[in-house]
Amino acid sequence: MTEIKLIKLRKEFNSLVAVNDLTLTIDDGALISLLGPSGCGKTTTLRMIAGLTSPTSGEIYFDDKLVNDLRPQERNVGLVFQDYAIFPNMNAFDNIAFGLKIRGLSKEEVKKKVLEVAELLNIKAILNVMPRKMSLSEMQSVALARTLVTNPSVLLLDEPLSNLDAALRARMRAELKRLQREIGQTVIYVTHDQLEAIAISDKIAVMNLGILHQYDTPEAIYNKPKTKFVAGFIGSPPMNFIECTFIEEDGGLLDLGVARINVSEYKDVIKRECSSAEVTLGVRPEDIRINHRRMSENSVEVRVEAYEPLGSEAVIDTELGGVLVRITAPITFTVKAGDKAYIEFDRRKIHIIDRKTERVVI
Amino acid sequence: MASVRFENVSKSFGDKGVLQNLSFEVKDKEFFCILGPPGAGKTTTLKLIAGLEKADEGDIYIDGQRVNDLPPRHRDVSMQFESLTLFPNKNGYENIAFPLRIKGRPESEIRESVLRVARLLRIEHILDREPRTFSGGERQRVALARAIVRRPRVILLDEPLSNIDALLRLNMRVELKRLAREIGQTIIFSTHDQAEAMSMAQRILVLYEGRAHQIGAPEELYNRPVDTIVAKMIGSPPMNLVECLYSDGKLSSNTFIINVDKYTEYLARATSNEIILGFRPEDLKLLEEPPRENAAKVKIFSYEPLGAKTLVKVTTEEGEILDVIGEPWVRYEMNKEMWLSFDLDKIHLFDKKTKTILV
Repeated sequence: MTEIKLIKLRKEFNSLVAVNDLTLTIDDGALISLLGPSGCGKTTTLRMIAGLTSPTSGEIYFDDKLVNDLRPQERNVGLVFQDYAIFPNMNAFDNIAFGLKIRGLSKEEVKKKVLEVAELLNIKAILNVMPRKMSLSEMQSVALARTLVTNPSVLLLDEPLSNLDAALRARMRAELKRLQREIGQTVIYVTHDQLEAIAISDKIAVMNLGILHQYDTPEAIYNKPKTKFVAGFIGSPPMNFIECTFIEEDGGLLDLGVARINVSEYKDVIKRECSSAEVTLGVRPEDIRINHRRMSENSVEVRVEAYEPLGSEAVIDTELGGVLVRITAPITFTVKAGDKAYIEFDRRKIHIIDRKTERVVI
Repeated sequence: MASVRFENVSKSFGDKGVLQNLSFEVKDKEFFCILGPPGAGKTTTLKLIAGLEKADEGDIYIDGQRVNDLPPRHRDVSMQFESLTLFPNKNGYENIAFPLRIKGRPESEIRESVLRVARLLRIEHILDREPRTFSGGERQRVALARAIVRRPRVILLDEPLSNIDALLRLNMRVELKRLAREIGQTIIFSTHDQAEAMSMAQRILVLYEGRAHQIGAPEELYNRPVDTIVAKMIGSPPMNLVECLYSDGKLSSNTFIINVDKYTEYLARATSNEIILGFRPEDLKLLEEPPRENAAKVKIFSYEPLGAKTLVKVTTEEGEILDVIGEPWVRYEMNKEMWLSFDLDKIHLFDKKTKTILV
């Protein structure tokens, strides 16, 4: 219902630049995540959009209307924080109804709206329950219901699931995504959990130290990261990085120190885009094959450091010339620590990173 | 030699039964895990081994010696608790040295032992620093070092990785496993996280509401869970369980009609015709068209890309949600009707009344 535009949005706290000239357009009805480690500026950005923090410079537009000077209550945004602010002395119904009552809605209208939202969030059965008797997920749902019931055009969520255990979080995530599809609000979701961001977002803005590194669909963020930071932050287990040197022999080779691999198909791009021959090879654990025997001339010998079975697959830690290379393999492949093995990188899926600029060129 | 054995151990606090008839054996030098949800009795079990709680019934043996009446200090067992309590005013070295100091060991031996474990855990560089300067991982390592420095007969670790962030946990898992191998001592740890249990332990005891449900190697628990409790606890996401009725060589629900002729013999052992059908999410596939056999129609409820794969949630006719692991970056239309396909060799069947496995 609202398109949000941030233009060169900046926030300084004394000498610290918390958000550094952030420009971002959030489509009407999209669910986007602001993702990054603590201190990346994601919460500050959210608070500026909500109107709780005023920017040092830059502009915030809601549907082409400048809202910098509007107070939070004039922006029609709904906020849910990590610690659910629900009134301990009111039952679920009254908690949800609160925002409607202060707007002066009639008793019947309040009741109708509360029941509607309770139905949506599947909490009709606990409307008479007091917060101290609720489970964490119930409190979470009530906090969400309280915000949704006032029908804000923008929903801002700051790590709303971080107090829940893994199974519950997975369930709430699915609920949240479905809910958003049904209501069609613009949602901005702040999280440090990359899995969560990938799972629910239409687009993800990856931030670090106040700077926007990439704003893209989860698929593009995962498969086509633009910086080394994005490449390393997304994915579990994370992407492997191996420092190497590009050599113009045999059509183009990466020299890993203990081995060389052929990357002739990328030769031109590397020569054109990289500031020097000093590059980093980036490859995800699932894009490496492992075998007991040499598979081809591009096979590289490694030593197995650890074997972790995880049901249908295993995570295998190997050592390649002093660097840890983590691989996910089907559970049918077994090795033990200390064994010798051979790995091969899926050349279609490798990334090559300019070591100086940390830009991903492939 | 340091084996640990429980024989029919029960423990209650007031009228609340915590452990019922618990029997299991941990072998010498084994890296053993007690896996269960909060409240399952994991910490109580560890405390019984350490001697910090007394069993109401049953016998506890360490190295074949009954230890029920042996005070903690004579058991030669160390226990690290979930909450990492380091002495804030002592540096890393002194924190690790503490258990040896109270035993009055000579200075040279203390030094040698502290340096040995510090090297093992790669924390030599923080020995002269104080805990407030430690990162989460360093704190974790120092606490671990303190638990193993004395070379006790048995090391008990209560949720050793629960207070650290996800990426660090991934690394500590590998670290802890390496450590267990290198020190070659009996280690028993507890966790509620199945991935932690599966990836580290040689064998796992699945504890639920104070009862042992299964004891076995990780692959046994994954491939052949003995009951629905274990089936639901192992795997991420865990196994899907669907209630069905068995008749005429077929299992049926509103969604599934599966020809299970090949399992007739096993199904004959069920106490009734009510059967629970189990599929692992990674053993299910979604198709646009019905497969030739055992077709099951479902609706897309939601889908979540997970990077290397996609978690798809589908609803059955009964409105139950099933998890399916699909190919990476595939998009699904909400509420679209699709068909499930599965390998008949990979299904699991449980007796609904007893919750135990048939196939």
